[in-house]
Amino acid sequence: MINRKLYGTIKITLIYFLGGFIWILSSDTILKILIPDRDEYAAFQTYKGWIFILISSTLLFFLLYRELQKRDIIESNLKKNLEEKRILLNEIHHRVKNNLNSIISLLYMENSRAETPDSKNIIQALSGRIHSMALVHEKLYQSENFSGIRLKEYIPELCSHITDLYPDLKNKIKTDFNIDDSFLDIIKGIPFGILMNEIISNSCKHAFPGKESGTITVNISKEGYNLLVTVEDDGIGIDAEENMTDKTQGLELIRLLVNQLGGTITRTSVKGLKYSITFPVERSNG
Amino acid sequence: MDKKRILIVEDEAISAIFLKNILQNEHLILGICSSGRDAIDMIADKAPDLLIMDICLEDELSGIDVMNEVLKTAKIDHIYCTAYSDKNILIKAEGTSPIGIIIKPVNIAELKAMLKLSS
Repeated sequence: MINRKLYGTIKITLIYFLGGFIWILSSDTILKILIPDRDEYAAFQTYKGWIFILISSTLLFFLLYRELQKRDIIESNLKKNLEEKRILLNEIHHRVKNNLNSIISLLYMENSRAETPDSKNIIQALSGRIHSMALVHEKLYQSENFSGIRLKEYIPELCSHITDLYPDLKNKIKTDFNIDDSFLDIIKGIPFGILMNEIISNSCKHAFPGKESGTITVNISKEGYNLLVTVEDDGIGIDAEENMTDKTQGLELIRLLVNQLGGTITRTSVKGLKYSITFPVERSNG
Repeated sequence: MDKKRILIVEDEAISAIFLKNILQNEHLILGICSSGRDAIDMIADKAPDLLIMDICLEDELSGIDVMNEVLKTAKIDHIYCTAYSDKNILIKAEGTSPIGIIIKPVNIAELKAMLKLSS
């Protein structure tokens, strides 16, 4: 296949070359026949040169003008396409968010019918996880170009929703955030959102039994290619022999999500419980 | 709190049944309608104390159009409930003096607080 750009250029150059060639050859011949006088001939040669430049300039003008006009049309088509894509993406994120919220509404209704505390807990845990995903889509369609969610906005909102789920804790638990300007794209945003939901929900559920108050602290900063995240509570902590290889489902989910992010996680319990997570993010995301 | 007679105008089934579910223990739900035309007829017929009104409905009438129509004959308390937080729409919605506007997903506590505000 011939490259269109090259083909167009060669076409224009060839037209110019042939036109010029034929012009010079034919006009010289005609001039020689019409004007035998040498001095007059030289003068006419000059006029002929001027005419050649005039014609070729006019031609050049129209050719360039036509090319640029074509480019203008293509550019405005591209812009229109891009805008349509933007609207479509916006609509899709909006719908995904709405669908997820419909599921949460359905779960809520089941919850009011559920009879045992166990089934209520399961429904609550489910709706928390779904909400952490819905919030990613909500933040994405509110963002300028759908490239990512700003953690400084996402995490506090997620946290406040989680503590809303525990009405008896709501006024006891304080949250503290030190989060830099990092962005996450949707590929990392969804697993990260669920991960944070698991860890923070765990703290709410287990860290503060019988305590009058407590604080959950989230630190997020980007260093080089990595995002460093710590989630810390000042609750009752855990027994030393419990570790991250435990087979409970919540912990297994946490480990798998960290794996999915391509990162590592450690858990320490000195005063309360502290999770430290490190995972790579694109350089352009920061 | 007074038991209110509430009409839900909402074209999305799950949203509608969700609203009914959270309100029916404390209030009387007169019904659910999904189009603007039905809403206008039903309001004239049942004279509810309060309307929960979605802004985008299934026919050409929006929730705001319905309110403008209804308010010509009687003042009626209403709360808008919408998924789109578009500024121009919200400004138009403010024009009918609602008790409040809720952006979906519905925050149950927020909705219940608004209900207490209505006389």
